[in-house]
Amino acid sequence: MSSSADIHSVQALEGMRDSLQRVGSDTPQLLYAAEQEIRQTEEWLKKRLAYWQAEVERRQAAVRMAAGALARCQASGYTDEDGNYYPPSCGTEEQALAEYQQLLREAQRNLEEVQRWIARIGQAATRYRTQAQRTRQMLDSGLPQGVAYLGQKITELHVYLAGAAPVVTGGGGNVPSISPPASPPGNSSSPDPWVTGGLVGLAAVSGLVSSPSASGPPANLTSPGGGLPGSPPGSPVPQPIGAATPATSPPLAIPGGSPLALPAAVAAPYRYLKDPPSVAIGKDFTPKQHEVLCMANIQRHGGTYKSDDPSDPYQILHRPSKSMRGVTPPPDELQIDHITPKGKAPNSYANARIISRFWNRKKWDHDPPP
Amino acid sequence: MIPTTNPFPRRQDLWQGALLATIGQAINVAAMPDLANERSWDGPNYSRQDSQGTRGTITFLADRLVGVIRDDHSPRAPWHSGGPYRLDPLLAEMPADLRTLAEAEALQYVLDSWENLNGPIITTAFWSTGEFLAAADPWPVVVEHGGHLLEIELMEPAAAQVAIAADSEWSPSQLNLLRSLFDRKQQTPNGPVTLKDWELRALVASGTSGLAESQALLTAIGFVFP
Repeated sequence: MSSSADIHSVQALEGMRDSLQRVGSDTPQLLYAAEQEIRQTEEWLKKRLAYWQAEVERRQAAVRMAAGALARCQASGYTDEDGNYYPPSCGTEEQALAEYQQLLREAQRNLEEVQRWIARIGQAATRYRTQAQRTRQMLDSGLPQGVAYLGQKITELHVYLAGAAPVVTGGGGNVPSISPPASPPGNSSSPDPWVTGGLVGLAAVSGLVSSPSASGPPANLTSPGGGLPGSPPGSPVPQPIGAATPATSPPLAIPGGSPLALPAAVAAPYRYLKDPPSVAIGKDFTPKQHEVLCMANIQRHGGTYKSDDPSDPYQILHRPSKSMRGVTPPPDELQIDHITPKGKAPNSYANARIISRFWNRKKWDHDPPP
Repeated sequence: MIPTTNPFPRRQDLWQGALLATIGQAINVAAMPDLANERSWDGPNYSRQDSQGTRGTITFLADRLVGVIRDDHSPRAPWHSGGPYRLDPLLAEMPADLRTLAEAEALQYVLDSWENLNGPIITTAFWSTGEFLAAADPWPVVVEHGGHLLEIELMEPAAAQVAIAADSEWSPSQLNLLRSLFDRKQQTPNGPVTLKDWELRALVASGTSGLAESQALLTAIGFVFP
């Protein structure tokens, strides 16, 4: 790390990340609301279609009856002895027939109108759903990666600024150019221990890296021997900034050069959803959260409920049925799982996933299941 | 709810809570039919699931009740305890007539299978002894091993109404509907209660896809649709 870096505004990056996160949390709910509205409209149109179809049939029958009545009336004239024909007075029947015919035409028009709207709404809904599917795919894959990447870079910059005791070396205009301190000897190609040690410390402080226990480091940063990856067994764990001497801190050997891992965030498929205000430790997921999670799951998987845990032996899941006398529920019913047990973590969307009943039972409060 | 020194809930409070929660469920499923599994009635049997691993059934008779619950996460569940599963300790001291009732009704809704075991599997149970409930365990232990499933049902009604509305993210009109239906049910506990026009409109205001489920729930507790 020998070149200087121009750091203009980390806040701007943070603002961008926050905006992206808001898009990630708000958009699924908007998509869900729009889909619900479309479904309600389609349902309503179907009901109107059935209504007007029945109404057309009913009014056709009424027209037939009125026509029959008119015919009977018209046949009821008589001829007297002199041969004079006296036609009957069928004005009422004629009027009734005309009215029924008018009502029939009205029903037929309404039926055609409903059919036309069904076709138009159907086309519009298809176009919308295609776009919505693309948006969902972007939300599911591109956006979380982008937010995580941005967050990672912001953290790196913060650590760089906070831990590096920056030296202002001058720069164009009023934007200072900041140089990091000199690299420790013999460490020019490996990740900067100032950064790596500081990152773990900062991440631990900020909660970006979740540690499985208060006394140990995150599992994915730990070597089998209990120290850091690439370090001998028993090596000390990096301390927060100020607690360790940078030059003596062991460097992290991280494949791909990424200095920060976010294990908890990666395992939380619904962290982009906006939590309700009542979220708390020890609380079950609420009915509304169930609905939102199930909708999010089925949208992620193109219309099928699927387990969010790749290790779950039941990948295709089904909505649970009502309790029934004499029936054992199947193992592939979906359940909402607290990723971290509810006694230790809140009913936040970030702590939610959908797995099978079998796997949830097996998991108990272990993750992964024993 | 009258303050009492008895740590066990009152039978009547649980009944009222079940009615209130059923009305809340009916309002929810009108627009969210996928939640229909969470509260249902089959004759005198009120079944509750949380879709998170806990389920139970209470059989309500006019003057008594018996309830059984299985919490899949309880250490008492055979898949966690490791030892042989025994139902009897959970039903210890249950009066014989209620034991018969439990075996014929409530326990039939909590069947499960585990290794060679096929039958009712529960992690806690309770029953009525006159005015109050009773169990083989102290009430906090009942709650720990599955009784938490009835949190809403055992709340004081006004608090339960607010909790249901908050958890379901309701509009004020949905909360008004809950209060109206519950109050009218209280006033006419044994007779049919016909939904008013505005109540029906409020019920379907946020969706009608689950109206049949909603209707089934309300009908089960004595409501009549106009």
